[in-house]
Amino acid sequence: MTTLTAPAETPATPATPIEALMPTVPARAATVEMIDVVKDYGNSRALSGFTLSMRPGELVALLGPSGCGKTTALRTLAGLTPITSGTIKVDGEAVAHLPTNKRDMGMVFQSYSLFPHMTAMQNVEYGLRMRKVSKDERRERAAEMLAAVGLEALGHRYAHELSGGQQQRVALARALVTRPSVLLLDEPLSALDAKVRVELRELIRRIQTDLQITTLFVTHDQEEALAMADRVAVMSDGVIRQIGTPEELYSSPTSAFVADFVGLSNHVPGTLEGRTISAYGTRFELLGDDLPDGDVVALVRPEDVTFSPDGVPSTVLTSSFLGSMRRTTVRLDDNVILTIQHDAADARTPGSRAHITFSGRPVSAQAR
Amino acid sequence: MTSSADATSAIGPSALTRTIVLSAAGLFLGLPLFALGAFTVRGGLAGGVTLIHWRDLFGGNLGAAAQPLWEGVQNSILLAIVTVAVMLALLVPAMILVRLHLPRMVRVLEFICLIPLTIPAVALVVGLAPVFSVVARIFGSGSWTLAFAYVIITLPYAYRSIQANLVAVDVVTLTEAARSLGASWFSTIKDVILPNLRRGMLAASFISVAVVLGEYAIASLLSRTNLQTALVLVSKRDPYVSNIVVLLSLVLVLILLFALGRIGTRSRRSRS
Repeated sequence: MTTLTAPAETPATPATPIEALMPTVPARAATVEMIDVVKDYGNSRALSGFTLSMRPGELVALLGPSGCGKTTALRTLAGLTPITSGTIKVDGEAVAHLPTNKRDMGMVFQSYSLFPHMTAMQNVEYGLRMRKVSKDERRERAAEMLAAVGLEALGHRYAHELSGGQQQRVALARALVTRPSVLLLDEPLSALDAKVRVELRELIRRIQTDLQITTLFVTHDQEEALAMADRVAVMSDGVIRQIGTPEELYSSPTSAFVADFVGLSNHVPGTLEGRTISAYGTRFELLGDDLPDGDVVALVRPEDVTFSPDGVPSTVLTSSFLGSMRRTTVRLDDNVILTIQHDAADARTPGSRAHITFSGRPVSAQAR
Repeated sequence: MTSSADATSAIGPSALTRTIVLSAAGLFLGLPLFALGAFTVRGGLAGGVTLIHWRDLFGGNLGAAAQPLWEGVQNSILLAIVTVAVMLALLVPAMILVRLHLPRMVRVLEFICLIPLTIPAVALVVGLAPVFSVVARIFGSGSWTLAFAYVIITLPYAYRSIQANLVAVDVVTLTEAARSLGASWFSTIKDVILPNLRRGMLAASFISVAVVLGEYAIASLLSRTNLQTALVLVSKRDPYVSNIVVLLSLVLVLILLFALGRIGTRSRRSRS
């Protein structure tokens, strides 16, 4: 038997809006509410009062470190993991008691989950078959959906004859062909290489926007979350620490955890009085909750540190060219190490002296 | 970059070693079969080569002498069918259930299924004898009831075959995918799980048939007739006929094992 090798990725994503491809099926955009959801595994609490509201057609990314409960949250919404307590509503109707197959949600998994004994076309048709859609309509809608993900020519192939990226495209088509009320994405890009990951995330975002389907996207990749989501929810210890637009999260983190987890942050020692932090002659306004007065560590973004001739003296450690910008690491004379993001043309030599200053934008902080 | 084939050839035995080992194994297995075949075409004390014994068997010239043999063949075929059916009906749902919902019980199920390997057939029969007196009251004393005992002795082999398949296929994710697409449990098992366990179930069935066809101790001690007990009986009257049947049954088992090997190879190829 000849084993087929997986072909190269199909590069371009189709330009036709998906709505134009599927005119017969009405658009659906549901609201989702997860209120005070608790999930215990024995003595271990995976979700501790998880609360999330999603607007119709919105893409929310759950972002957090491993073990923070983001996948558990998604699985409880899908009905794959029963909740210990709390409420889950879709379009105002409680669904926590419903089994997975009655929740009308499409899901794409982290591992390739195509049915190996079915072709790509049969995989996409499967959800329609379960809904007793006629054979002709099944064929038509599955073909349209495969076209929407750029795989119209590969419908006859089995999973092992498709590359990883193609398999995830088929999985996406399979999840969407039934026009579910909610789309759930459980780290669907994490097994793919960088180039395919970027292509596929753009495809997902475009289809999601075209269909206006409410989508919950779990990822541990902050770049992915910030690039794709309307809002990002940062999780730790089974609860959402902060939810907001990518810009809000980056520029106004309400806690040190969020500031540290989303983007790069410098840990700058300073002194807090009221809601003002003083560090190296610069005064920063404190973001988020009050902290007791005293020594604190302010979390300052690399772009909020600049070179300035009359600034704090330091020694350049490394300087990396990143295309449109440069990232330079310096050590202050008191051994504090800072990362500075600056103009790519301003090259710095390791070992040279430099003076830095802070922009003074509001920052998050944690007690020292 | 070194290909996997190159790597394998670099660390594997040389062609000469492989040839020697395969030849020795072939001789070890083939020589008795050849001797058995030679015996079946031997012209008695007079010597020479003759097909008369084969003609006697298949030409119906043996009459009543062959009666136990045909009964044994029929019983063994029926036993094989019932054993495979009961084994699959018990084991497959149990293994799927444990895999999907009770993963912590995998070791317990494995232990239970492997226990028969540790119990000699004679000891097993001592335990089974009183059970079979109850079985006889419920189902009668037909030889097919031996299938209940054979299911037990085939459990270790069948479990291993199906377990290997379950591990190779990510049943949990496939099940969750099917459920999220609106499939009921019945549809999920019928459309998704069973088609992907086909190879494991086929392998389990083949190996169970091979075990059933070769089983003697339990049938003999429980006074039932199957192929092996019939062969012993017939061999006392006509050693040629019994050896022809032994040869044929060995060839059948070899074919089954060969098919098993092919299934395994295809399974590995499709995964790669």
